[in-house]
Amino acid sequence: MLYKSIKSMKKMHTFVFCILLTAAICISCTDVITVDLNTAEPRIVIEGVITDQPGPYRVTIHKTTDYFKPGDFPPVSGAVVRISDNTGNSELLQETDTGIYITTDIQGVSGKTYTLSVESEGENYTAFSTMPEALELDSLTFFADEDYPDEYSVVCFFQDRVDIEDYIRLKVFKEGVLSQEYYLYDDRLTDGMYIDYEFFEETFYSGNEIKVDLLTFDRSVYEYFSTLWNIVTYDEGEDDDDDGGGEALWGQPANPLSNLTNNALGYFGAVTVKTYTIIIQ
Amino acid sequence: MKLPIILLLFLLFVSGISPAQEKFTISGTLKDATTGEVLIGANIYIRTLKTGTSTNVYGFYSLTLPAGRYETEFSYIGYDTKNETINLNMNRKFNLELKPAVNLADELIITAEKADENIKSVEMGITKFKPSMVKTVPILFGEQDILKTIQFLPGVKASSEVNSGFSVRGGKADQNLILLDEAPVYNAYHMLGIFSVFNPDAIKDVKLIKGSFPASYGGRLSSVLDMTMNEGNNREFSSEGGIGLIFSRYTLQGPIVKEKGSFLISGRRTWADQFFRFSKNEDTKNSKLHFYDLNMKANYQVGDNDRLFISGYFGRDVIGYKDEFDFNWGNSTATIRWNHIFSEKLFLNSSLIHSDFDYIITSKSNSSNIKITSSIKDINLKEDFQYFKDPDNTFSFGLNLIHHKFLPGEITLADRQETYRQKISNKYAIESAVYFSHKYSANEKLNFDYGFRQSSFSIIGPGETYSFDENGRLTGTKSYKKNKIEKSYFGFEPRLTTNFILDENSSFKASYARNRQYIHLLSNSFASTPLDVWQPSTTNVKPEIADQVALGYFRNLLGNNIESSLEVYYKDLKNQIEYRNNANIVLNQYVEGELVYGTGRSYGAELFVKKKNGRLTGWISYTLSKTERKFEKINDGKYFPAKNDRTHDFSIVSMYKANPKWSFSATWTYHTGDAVSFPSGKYIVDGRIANYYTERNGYRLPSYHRLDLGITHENKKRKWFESNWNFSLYNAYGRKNAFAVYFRESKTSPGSMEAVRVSLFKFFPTFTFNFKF
Repeated sequence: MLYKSIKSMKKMHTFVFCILLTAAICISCTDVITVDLNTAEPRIVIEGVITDQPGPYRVTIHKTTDYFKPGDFPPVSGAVVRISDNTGNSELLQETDTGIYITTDIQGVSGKTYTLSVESEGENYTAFSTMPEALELDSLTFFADEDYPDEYSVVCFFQDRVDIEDYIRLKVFKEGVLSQEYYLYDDRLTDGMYIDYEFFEETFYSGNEIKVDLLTFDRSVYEYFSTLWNIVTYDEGEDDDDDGGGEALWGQPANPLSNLTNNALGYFGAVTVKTYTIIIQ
Repeated sequence: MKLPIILLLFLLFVSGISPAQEKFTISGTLKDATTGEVLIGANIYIRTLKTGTSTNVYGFYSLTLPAGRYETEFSYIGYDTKNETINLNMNRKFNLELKPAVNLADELIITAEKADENIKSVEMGITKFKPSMVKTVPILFGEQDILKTIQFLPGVKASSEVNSGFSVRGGKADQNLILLDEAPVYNAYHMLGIFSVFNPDAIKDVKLIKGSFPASYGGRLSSVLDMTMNEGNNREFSSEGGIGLIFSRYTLQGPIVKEKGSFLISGRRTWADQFFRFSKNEDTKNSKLHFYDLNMKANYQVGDNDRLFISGYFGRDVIGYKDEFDFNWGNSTATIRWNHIFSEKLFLNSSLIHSDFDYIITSKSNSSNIKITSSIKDINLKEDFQYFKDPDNTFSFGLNLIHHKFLPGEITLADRQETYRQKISNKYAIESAVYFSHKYSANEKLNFDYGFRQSSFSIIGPGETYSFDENGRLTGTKSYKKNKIEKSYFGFEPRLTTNFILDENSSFKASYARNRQYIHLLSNSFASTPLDVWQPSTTNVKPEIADQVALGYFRNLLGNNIESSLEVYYKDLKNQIEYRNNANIVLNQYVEGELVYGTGRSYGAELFVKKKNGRLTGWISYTLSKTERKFEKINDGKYFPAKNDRTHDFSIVSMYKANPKWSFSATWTYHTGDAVSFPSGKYIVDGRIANYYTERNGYRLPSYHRLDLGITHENKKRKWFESNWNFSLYNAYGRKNAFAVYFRESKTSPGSMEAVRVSLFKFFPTFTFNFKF
């Protein structure tokens, strides 16, 4: 109930804010303008994930490009990429495609701390991530929305673990399409409580197939995602309101908190994955 | 705490020892002859001695002179001057009324000060005006707004376009102390700051002090905006009103007992929602969207030496949709004041003040009911003495005691199964101060106003103290009992201003002030919302401190008709507060763990030229400034420009009275765009395009400029009825000023990014009708 109340408060905040903004939006107009952005020195972006599911696991490396430059992101080839754990296992990754590095043998296991090290163009980058014990949902259910007929809310239930720092991401796929919303959870305020978590940014209808991936990881990965969500670009779906820039409008944008050293962008995460599926009917 | 009081008594004692020549005191109150309103800052001048004084905010003056016969001049801007011969062979009481000047029908006056006040007075960084004097300045929606008018002054910036929130010399909006009849107003805005809560019809006098506060003010870092409400006409009943695009207004005033006491009631309310009731749509019919302000004041002269005032303000915003959703918020203040004249020389004002701000949100649906409340409540006691020793020495001293009660938030959530209540604990605090200041004329050229304020702040029980690790994770909790002092802060705040008069028309001034602020508004966005929460200083949250040094050159031209000044300032800020990245601010008992602390600095030059009277009046203001902040975890610990850092800020305000019927006005404003963070590159992570930032606030929005025009026509006066209409055009040449710029993937060429500008109000015309009878 606590989590629910915090969520409804947040929802209320957003709601109130929207009402207050309505006046401004009614009279505002938008147009595309030319903005002169600095050309920044390209910076390395490393993204690597190891899970408790069977491999191979992938590390991708590329560089930032000028903001308005269309086209691809330059991959970084020829890097020396290694994943090792704290029990002496270590593996050099193979570059199978330009900028894409793949493991062969290593298997992610809960409780181990993994190290990613990358050597490229004379620079070294490292990151640590500890894979927690997997957390499981008690259930994933749907309820008919009492306020809006035809609509359903989807809620998952789980027990937060006492005295363990639980950091969670829930990836929601509706009809196979991943929701753009970052559903994150941490137990700073709810340690040991029984949690009901609703995917309230989504609207669900009868017949929808819902898949939820429950990801658990350590605090460094959580901090990365929780500071990432307000600087990524949202595809504007069927509704044409330009709220894609909403976060940039009201928040203070900054690069996410990465666990990689040497100013690299991106992150390295040791993640457990559990998958749940329901069909609303 | 005892030391300052002893010092104060000592100074009083010393200053009481006078040289041998016999002296007497003339004192009294100056009033408006038609309404009985007291005149603030009216002048009393003895030509032969080249000395004089002016009335205080209650119209009281006191002047101690050697025995003799004096030709005394009583004057006030916009009023006929009176000369009286006073035989000062004993202490005399001399109350006087001045008549408003009638020969000014063709002219406007936009100052509330005497002609050379800006040169002679020791004050600096101060602007005073009467709302009635700037009522033709064109403002968005045609609604005159005090907080928007002051945004045209040097050193004052709007928080954002159309916002009444303001920043003074690089300060934050919560660093302004906004006082209405001495009561602090915690949320001075309606609707996200589009309108301020101050009804100009009810306000008599406005004073803005930028940083170099007299010792009697404290508790905020950047500015004091001190507003006095009208007292009401104590001679006859009168009423006036108006209908504009947004508000309908009405004011009634009159005597309670003729010439002894008067009252004033002034209200305004938005009226557009009245059309809801004609709607055929039931949902619209049951919706609410309005806000209102109600000001009331009464005063009564009890005897020769005592006067009582009671004033109050009550205002609220109400938004509702059917019975499903209701959100309302507002302030209420109440002030009881007692003026007492102990002797010809000693004046006391005692005030007891209540001030409160709260909001309530309720939401009902078939599945659940939610109610959220939050408030801040103050009880405030003030004792302010003024001792007019002689023309060269005036002492002000007093004390201030505030009890704060913070209710940061409570949510009640009920669904079919259960009711759940979550509450962030209340916090209680006592804020107090004693102050002393001495206004001293060393000679005809050199004046000082120096003093100090000893402030303190204590968080008292019941409550809890939390400790956090460097990531903001709770590591310990300690609770403390009712009325127990958990944490106290004490601060010494020296204040000094000095004035060196170079000649009749020019002077040089300098000031230094230290200000401390013990309560802080936590706001995550740059528009003020009623949901922002006031946070007291606690074990974790230290008081904010500002030190400001300012220098100024003041010069009047053309027989005091044109006033000009150049001021430079440097301000150093400590213990500034920001949320950490991804702060959890909603209903968080441990919100103190989500804060990071840093420093700031602001410096600049402000040029101001004002033409005070004639057919054409107005002013030009230009500010060149820099405001930076520094936080360990932001921008690699390097200084970065504050969002409200504006290199150039220029305004011109002009009003032209062509004849008694027609007057015209125009304002033009230009400023450097706000500092913003734009991406300097992009990359892919988690399958999405992410923006790459290189520095905090390293870019600028496009420069902002805008022209507003206004026309006012006075209709033919009838015996019982006067009226005028006003037409104004906001953003006359339709500049698309960027309110914000954001980035998105292009719709026309996928894969490439584009910048999108959000702009408000290309043009906005308004028509207002005002009447008086």
